[in-house]
Amino acid sequence: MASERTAGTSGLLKRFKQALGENPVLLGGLALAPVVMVSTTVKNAVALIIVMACTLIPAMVLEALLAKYAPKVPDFARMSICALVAAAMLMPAKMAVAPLAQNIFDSLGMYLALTGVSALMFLHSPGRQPEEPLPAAVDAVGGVLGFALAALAVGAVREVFSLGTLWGSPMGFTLKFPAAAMPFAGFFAVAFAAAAWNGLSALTRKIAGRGAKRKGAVR
Amino acid sequence: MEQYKEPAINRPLREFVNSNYPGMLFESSLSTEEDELEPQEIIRLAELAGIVDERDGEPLYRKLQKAAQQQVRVVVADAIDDEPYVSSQINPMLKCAPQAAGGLRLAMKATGAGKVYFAVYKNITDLVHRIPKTLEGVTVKRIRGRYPAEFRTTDDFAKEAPLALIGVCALIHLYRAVKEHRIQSSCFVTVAGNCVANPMNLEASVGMTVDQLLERCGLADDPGRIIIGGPMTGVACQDPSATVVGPATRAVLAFKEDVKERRYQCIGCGKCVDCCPENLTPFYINKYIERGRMEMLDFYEIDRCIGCGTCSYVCPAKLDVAANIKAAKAARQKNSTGGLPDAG
Amino acid sequence: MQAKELKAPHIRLKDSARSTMLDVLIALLPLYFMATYFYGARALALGGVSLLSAVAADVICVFLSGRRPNPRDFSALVTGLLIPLMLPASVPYYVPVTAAVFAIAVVKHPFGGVGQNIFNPAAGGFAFVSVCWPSLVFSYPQPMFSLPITGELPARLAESPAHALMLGAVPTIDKLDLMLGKFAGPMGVTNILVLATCFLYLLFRRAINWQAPAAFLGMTAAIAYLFPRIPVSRSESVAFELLSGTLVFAGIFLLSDPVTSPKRGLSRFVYGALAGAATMLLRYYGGFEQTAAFALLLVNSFTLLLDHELERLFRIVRRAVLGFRAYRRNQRIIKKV
Repeated sequence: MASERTAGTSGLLKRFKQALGENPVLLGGLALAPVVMVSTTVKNAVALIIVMACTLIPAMVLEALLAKYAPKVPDFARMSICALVAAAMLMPAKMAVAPLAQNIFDSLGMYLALTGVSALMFLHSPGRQPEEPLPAAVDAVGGVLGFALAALAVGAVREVFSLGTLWGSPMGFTLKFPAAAMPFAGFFAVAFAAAAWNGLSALTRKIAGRGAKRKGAVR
Repeated sequence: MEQYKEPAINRPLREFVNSNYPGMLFESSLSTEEDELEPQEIIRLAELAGIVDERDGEPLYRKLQKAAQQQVRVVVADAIDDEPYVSSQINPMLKCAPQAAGGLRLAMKATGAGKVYFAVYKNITDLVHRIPKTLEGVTVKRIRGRYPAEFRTTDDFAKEAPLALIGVCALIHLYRAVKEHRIQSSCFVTVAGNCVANPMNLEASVGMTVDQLLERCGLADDPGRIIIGGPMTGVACQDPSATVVGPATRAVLAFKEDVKERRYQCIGCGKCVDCCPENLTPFYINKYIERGRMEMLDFYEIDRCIGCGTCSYVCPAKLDVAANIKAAKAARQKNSTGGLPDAG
Repeated sequence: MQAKELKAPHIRLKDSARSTMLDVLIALLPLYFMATYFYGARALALGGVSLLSAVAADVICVFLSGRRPNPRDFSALVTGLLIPLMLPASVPYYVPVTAAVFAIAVVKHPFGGVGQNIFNPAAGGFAFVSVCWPSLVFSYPQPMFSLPITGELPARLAESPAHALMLGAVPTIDKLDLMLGKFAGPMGVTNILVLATCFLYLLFRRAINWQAPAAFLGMTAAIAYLFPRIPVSRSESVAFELLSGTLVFAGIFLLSDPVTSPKRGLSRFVYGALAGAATMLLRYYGGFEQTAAFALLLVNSFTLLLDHELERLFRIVRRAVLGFRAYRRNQRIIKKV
């Protein structure tokens, strides 16, 4: 795998696509708790994504840098440094989230703060090896984007169902399902999103396979 | 379970033999009188006559030898016929009662047993005539309980173990072998089913084809499936003109059935679990077979299955539970060195 | 001559999955009759709407999963007819529709459709709407007062006796009315005599098992007898707890659902007892007055575990009791050969 992932723009693009395709929430089941608990509305989901981006990307890049330029630092120390940096990044993340709504960071309770730990879970996710800084950054951005997709989809569905609004503006129908804001509905939403994701990727693979076949036939 | 033994069970036993039947005798210097024969001589006659027990296809003389070695206390004539439609043991027992009782006495003498019984299935609900309590001075025991009754016979005679179980038809043939020095050239077969115009029991020559037997009784309809053996455990006959009946053939059944595709799915009712005579869970066994998780079958003790087919019979989704289990069991025994030692 | 292989056994019992489901449908008809008697034609309209939406959702889900719908499969009909019976007759039409669609599209088909679902669809649908709109689901119209199919409903809705029980008050209902279900409550499940008749019919037809309902009702009655919530005599406590809501109905129609209940008689017993205990605990310490559906969903998740763990017990039983028999049979085999 590593040799496949060579440097160069096309390699990085491929890498990015791969990172996006391997959706951490929908396929990996990572960071389920924040998605289920927090993303009840689109706004909350965006806040969650911002916090995730602020903590995950620096932590992963830092880890790669440390692994490359200070290889003598032992694993546990590298991990702790990364966790500390992720936790420290929560402060700017709080400020970045503030414009969305007053006190959204605090009103969502501990789950946003816990997102800092999610970065650790990403680092520890099975099959990961410390790598070059640039691919690691691409990986992190791809992972955050995948996470953003999942959180936004779940948040939008739950907001529409529970409050009848999207980004705070009414959708124009009166029927509401308050239960959609509850955690169990979050699990359902994640499950259906995962099913949809799997279905979509199967479909794209099928289409790609068909295209390849046609090309082969022409040749 | 409906028995459907009427009307075949009460109709007279008809002979349906080919032309060389009367000449099928063997040469022997032994006496034809029961009292003048030693036990070993009876066994020798059984061997000369080539009698085969219709219960399991085992040669009768070998069974008698084994029983004599084991010093059995009881000889039980098996006329249980616990499967529906089949009455090819009860009917000869009633119609040829003197021969059956005589054969039983001969077997008693050959094995040195002290007591003899006839065993008949109790739950035959559609009988017109009652089965007598004694037959030619021999007590008729009734085996109670639901369908797979035959395998419980040993339990019913547990107090008098060890015992030897011998089919009634084999005993009738034993009697004929001793009295007439006749080779076993015929077998008792029930011809029945909802396509058969005149269901009855036949004494047919060995080597008759299934087609001939069905023609003899008349087909009311074009049969969808023809079965050799009982309806629960028998084998579907692929080519009735090329299949012949043998000494272990007990029934030829012809059924017409609707061939609608039902596409039921298992609804998990658990009826197969409730009815399993071995107290197994066919539901889970079938489920794991379908999903290919063969390692779970050990836990559910598939080797204890006796293959009675009750689970498929009751299944409201009409699944082939029993057939699946049978296939999986066969595949296991092929692969492994063997299952439980007591997987009777 | 014959194309496909024919497998033994060659005869089958006449009962089919279809006839079993049909029996349940037949047993539901008297309940609809009672509901119509109490609340007028609106009860039937609710049932019809729920039925239609359940069937429509089922057909769509079957197509989505790439299969063909089976016209002999009545399970969606049963689900669709079960749900409105637990709701008040005054409930808006979108409530049973939501419940039915949720039951089919979220609780049943994602797990694999007929025979594969882990949780009871009807209980799931009812639980969902009672979480969504507790004020609509738990306030009931008075019986013997015919409700119009469309248009204005009477504003005067009452709490059910189960609500009084939850607050620790003694419901003021005549004993006979309690038996006959003539009190403000769910539309089709209050008449205990009709319910008992349906139960007997289903038992007689062998459409359901008896172990789970018996254990469930026994357990709830025992808890109500031992720990009464309200200051009345113990037997009165049992009567109020059992008869004031969906408890008996859930015990008969939801708990004995063949798909989601365990397969062994003994595990069904344990399952029913667990469900009873969960129901009463949720009643005593929970936030809702009708808890049987929630308790059922909770216990459904133990079904496989119960069967699997009790199978260990049965392995031992087989060793001990049947092992002896197998030993004797073994001797017979030795003898035969």
